Amino acid sequence: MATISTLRKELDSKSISSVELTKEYLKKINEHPELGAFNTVCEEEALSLAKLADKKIANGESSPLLGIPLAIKDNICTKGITTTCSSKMLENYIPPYNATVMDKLNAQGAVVLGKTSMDEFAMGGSSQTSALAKPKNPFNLECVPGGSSGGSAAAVSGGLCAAALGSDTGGSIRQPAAFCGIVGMKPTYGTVSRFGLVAFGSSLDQIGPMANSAEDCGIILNAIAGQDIHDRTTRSHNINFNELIGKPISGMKIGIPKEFFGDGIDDEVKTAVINAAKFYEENGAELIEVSMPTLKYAVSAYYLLACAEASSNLSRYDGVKYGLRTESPESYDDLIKKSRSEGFGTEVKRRILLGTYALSSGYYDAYYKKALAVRQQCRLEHDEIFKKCDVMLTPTTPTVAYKCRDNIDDPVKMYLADICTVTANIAGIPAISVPCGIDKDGMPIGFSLSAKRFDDAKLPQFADFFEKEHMHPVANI
Amino acid sequence: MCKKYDTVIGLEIHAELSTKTKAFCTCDASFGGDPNTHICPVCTGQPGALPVINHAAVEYAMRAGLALNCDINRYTRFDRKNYFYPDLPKAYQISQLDLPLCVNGKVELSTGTVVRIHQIHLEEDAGKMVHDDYHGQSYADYNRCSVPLIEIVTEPDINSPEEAAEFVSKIALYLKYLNVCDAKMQEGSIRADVNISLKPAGSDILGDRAEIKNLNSFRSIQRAIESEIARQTEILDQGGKVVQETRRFDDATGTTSSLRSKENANDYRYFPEPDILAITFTEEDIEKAKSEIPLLPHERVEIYTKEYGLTDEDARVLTSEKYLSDFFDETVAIYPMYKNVSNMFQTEIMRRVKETDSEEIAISAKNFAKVCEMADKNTVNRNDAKTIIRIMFEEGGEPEEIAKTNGFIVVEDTEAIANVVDALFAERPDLIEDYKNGKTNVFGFFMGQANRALKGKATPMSVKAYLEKKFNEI
Amino acid sequence: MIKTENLKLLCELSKLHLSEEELSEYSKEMSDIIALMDNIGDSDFEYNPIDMTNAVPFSELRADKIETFDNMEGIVKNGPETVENQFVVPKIVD
Repeated sequence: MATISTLRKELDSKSISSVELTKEYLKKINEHPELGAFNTVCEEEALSLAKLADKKIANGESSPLLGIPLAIKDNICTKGITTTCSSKMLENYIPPYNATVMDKLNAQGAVVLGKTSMDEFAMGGSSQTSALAKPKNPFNLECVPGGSSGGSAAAVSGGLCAAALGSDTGGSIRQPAAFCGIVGMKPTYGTVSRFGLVAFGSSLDQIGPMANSAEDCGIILNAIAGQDIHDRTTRSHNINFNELIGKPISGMKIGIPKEFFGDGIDDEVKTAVINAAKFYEENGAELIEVSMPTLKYAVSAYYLLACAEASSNLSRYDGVKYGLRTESPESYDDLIKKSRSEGFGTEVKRRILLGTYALSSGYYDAYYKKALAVRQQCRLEHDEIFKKCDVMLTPTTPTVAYKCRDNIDDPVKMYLADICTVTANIAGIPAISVPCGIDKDGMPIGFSLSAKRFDDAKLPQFADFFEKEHMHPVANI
Repeated sequence: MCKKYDTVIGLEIHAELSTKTKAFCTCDASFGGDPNTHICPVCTGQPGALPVINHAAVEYAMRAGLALNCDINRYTRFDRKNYFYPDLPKAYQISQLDLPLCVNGKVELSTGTVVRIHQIHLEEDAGKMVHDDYHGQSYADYNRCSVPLIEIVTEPDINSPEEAAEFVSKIALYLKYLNVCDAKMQEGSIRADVNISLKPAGSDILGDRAEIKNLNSFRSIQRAIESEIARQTEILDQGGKVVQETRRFDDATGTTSSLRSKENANDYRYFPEPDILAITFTEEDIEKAKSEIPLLPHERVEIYTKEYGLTDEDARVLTSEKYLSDFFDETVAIYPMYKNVSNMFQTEIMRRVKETDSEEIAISAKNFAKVCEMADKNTVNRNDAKTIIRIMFEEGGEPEEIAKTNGFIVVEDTEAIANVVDALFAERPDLIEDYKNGKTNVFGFFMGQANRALKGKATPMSVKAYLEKKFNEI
Repeated sequence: MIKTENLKLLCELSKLHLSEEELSEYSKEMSDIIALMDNIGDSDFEYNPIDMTNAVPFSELRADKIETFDNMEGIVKNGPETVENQFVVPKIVD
């Protein structure tokens, strides 16, 4: 699969134009409706952006993403282009403004191909809760691409775009990246602006890249990261995400948290991930066992925090200012109740109710406040762990991608499957998922690397080191 | 009559801060504008938009807290208060619950009652709803959404309707002095919620309270409380129990009525606002804010009475508005004849500005000081001084110029005085004889004649002095 | 265990309408989920509300300078029902 760095060379050497490249991707998108990767394809806009990019390239201008066709998760606001969150609620919503990341991509002259499908409001790990396009796994169309950034993962893995943006609240970039055999990175909370990212769990959400290589992830992050006056949870930092690529890893320490290799993890996944760890060890890195006792509370804390915030974040959808509005409401109360009940799907309602429960009087202390305490403890634990090691290595998911109908009817099972990814969000640390082989059925397996906050550059470094020796699996599309 | 019940009143005062931009976005926060013309993705709750807190809003709230003797929390945090209403686009109000900006203040009333302030927190205002009965619809305008508000929450230390009204007017005056709020009740920039309960006189046990929401004038606050006391007294007298509820005051009938309460839906599910970082303050931040607090009305009254020797009454009138007090201060800094300036100010300046709505005084303190001085020194006579002020208000101009142009300048022409008086003495030897015989009232006749003849050339004082000298020589 | 009664209150708070059938379905699912969450009760960490990693100095807050949004019509245009640039709701009675 063509990486951004390869395409960059081809574009700059004019062996291909951005228009040609864009047309190729658009053709492929049209040829693969069964992937269900896109809610919206912006053919005209993409071609005009590509033309503009070609003009700039002809003028000798260059920037890492100039003329590179990308896909954008459909929960990132694009001015003038519908942003639906794969929900009936926002099916016709046209944002009056651009997300900061979109302004940054535009500034680099990137080409936006379209908006990718996802779990409704990013709530899910299968992307099958989408009320619009339901994406499928390019490695096996009967399997889920993971979620919630399933459309972005399917698009990258299926070769429908050079790379994509996703968002990650509890693993929504890394898990679909692992399921679809690509690289996905969630940067440190506060490195990329959330302004224009439709909020799910505000204290956990982070936008990040999904791409064909770790270096590509770094290229995109270099373009979109930075402190933003519109998002005061962003911090000032000067991370060059790719500056450590190629630097030796020998002598560096990799933490292996034992709790991540327990019974819940599929044996094939475990083996592949342990092999990845061994590869680093063979190349001079030191493996050390670390411990994360709070992991047993992580899923609970994550769902309590995320759903509590979501219950508040999603209250704005009332059928008054935008979005679905019920026909002939009898009263204001009727208007909001019916609009919300018609507009939201089952999983979204479930999480709103759960979050409302966690915050309601009488339950706040027992649930929400406990979750806040666990988050603080989890951060402390991570601080301790990263005093001992440079990065931590874990599976990205307990299993490979499952069949489309399998998990999604059982919320408890579905929630538990997030065990390997949620701690990075709770602790606000960066994490990257890298493909490390396939299982007996040919489905991709991924492992994750995480680092301490703002140590993001170590992740492309380690991931790139692995990639150099291990080809990513390629979908037969 | 012996009082049967003690009244216990607590207030929550909401005051809109007069910042240029809204609390959480850069939209124009000024009052008015066509519907939805002061809006952006943030204040209309667009998906993905994030609040960014305004430095001035925090600064103003802190200044108010310091002036009301509060402690400033060195770490203050925002919380979301969740409820659905069409004037609240995000369906939550960004407010403060656990770690408000200001805590533990106090204000003393003229009755000697000390009202403790529980906390002052910063929050955002909601939009405006217009109701259309004909079409059975309401219309939402979000121009006011996210305008910064402070909520001042008192302890239940207030004992009467009069005290409540005094407290609110005192707070309004302070906020104006602090330049943090316009305090225009008609524009809704100050509103109050009142909690009232009665308890048997002398008892320590608080009764069940009713809350009256959204009172927007000093008068309606007082009337609402009076009416509510009467209502609760009647209930208690009949052995009944006051229902803990929210009530509304109707200005037309002067009575309160119950708002249909959905008590079960009143769970606001506060939680820490994840989109806004907590704010920390250094000691320098606090010191700087303190240094920006102007002298407050009670401090000025103290100076006016103790140092300037003005009466308490005069001092209160002068400090009734900050711009008046500032103008007075500026005048006496140039011309420190406090009593005279105060008199002239009250009769000539305050009368005029009260006729207008504006808080601008059309003449400068420097010119006003000059006129006061001219009148005191008899450079012009007092009536002409007033005319000069009128002309300055109506047409502008410099006081000396106006006095000259209109022939108001009093010239002390001693030669003329001597000539006129000597001639009068020569004309009326009969009256001189009368004087010698003890009819001293003839002095008045000469005084009148001389003044008439000398108008514009000499002041009555000089004429009098010369006459006295002349009579003494007889 | 989430009883139907509790769930109805949660529905009222979050302005969702569930049919009787949905209510029983959701209350079962919610009960299972909450049973999963209940293990958080075993944790005994103290929450410290003063979290300096999550704070910003007063001096760094946004300046009070007006910047007018350039696409207000884009905001109103999304309104499902508008009259004279205002958003319409059924009449509010309080």
